Amino acid sequence: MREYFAEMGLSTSIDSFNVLVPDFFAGLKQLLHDTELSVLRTYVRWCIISETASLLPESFRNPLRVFSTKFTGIMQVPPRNETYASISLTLVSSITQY
Amino acid sequence: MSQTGFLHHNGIPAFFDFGVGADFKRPEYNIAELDQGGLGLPDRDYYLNTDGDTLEIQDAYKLLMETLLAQVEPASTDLHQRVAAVFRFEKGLAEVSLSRTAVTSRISITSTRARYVLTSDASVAHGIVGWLVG
Repeated sequence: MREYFAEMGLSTSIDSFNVLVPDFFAGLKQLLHDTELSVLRTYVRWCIISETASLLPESFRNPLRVFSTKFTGIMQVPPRNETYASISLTLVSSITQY
Repeated sequence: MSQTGFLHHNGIPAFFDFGVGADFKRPEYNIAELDQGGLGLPDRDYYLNTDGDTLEIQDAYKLLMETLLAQVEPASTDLHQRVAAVFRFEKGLAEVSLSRTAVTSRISITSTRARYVLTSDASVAHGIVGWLVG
């Protein structure tokens, strides 16, 4: 947990925190235990890709648009320059780590 | 845990959510808080419901996952199976998540939340603590 807070850029002297749904974390622990590492790697890759796809080339954005259209019924996704970009490029390149 | 910290620090949600909220013990202070999360679809019902509309969305979601992963792994031939496995993992997260109704009402249900102290909770028998502390 201390490593987590350190990576978050928070003080490592944090000694208490709230857990809003303790049963979820108990379930998560069991799920992590029962899931193969290769699946977790793919899951993390997917988390990175799905969060950054709107900032990536057309070959990423188009499938995202198709899904959004199906999911929300919105026919037009805002142009790229209106999409708020807060994710550093280093993170996108870090995808290869997973 | 440090890997998850790296992801969360860079705005990538995975496994669970992080936030800041009023300390359950001292409400005049804000402290870190951990919440359920890690789902790609917006609500656990999209994983658990079995009606036609939901199944259609699940299929579209899996297709999106496979299409985008194929962009970064053009040589992979087992993406279909891997996507199915990731979906099963997310469905597992959904199964242990509270429903939206329960989340809305939990603010008044103290039994569904807890406050942990890192230095002393290693002995607490709850499943999370042994994993979080370390």
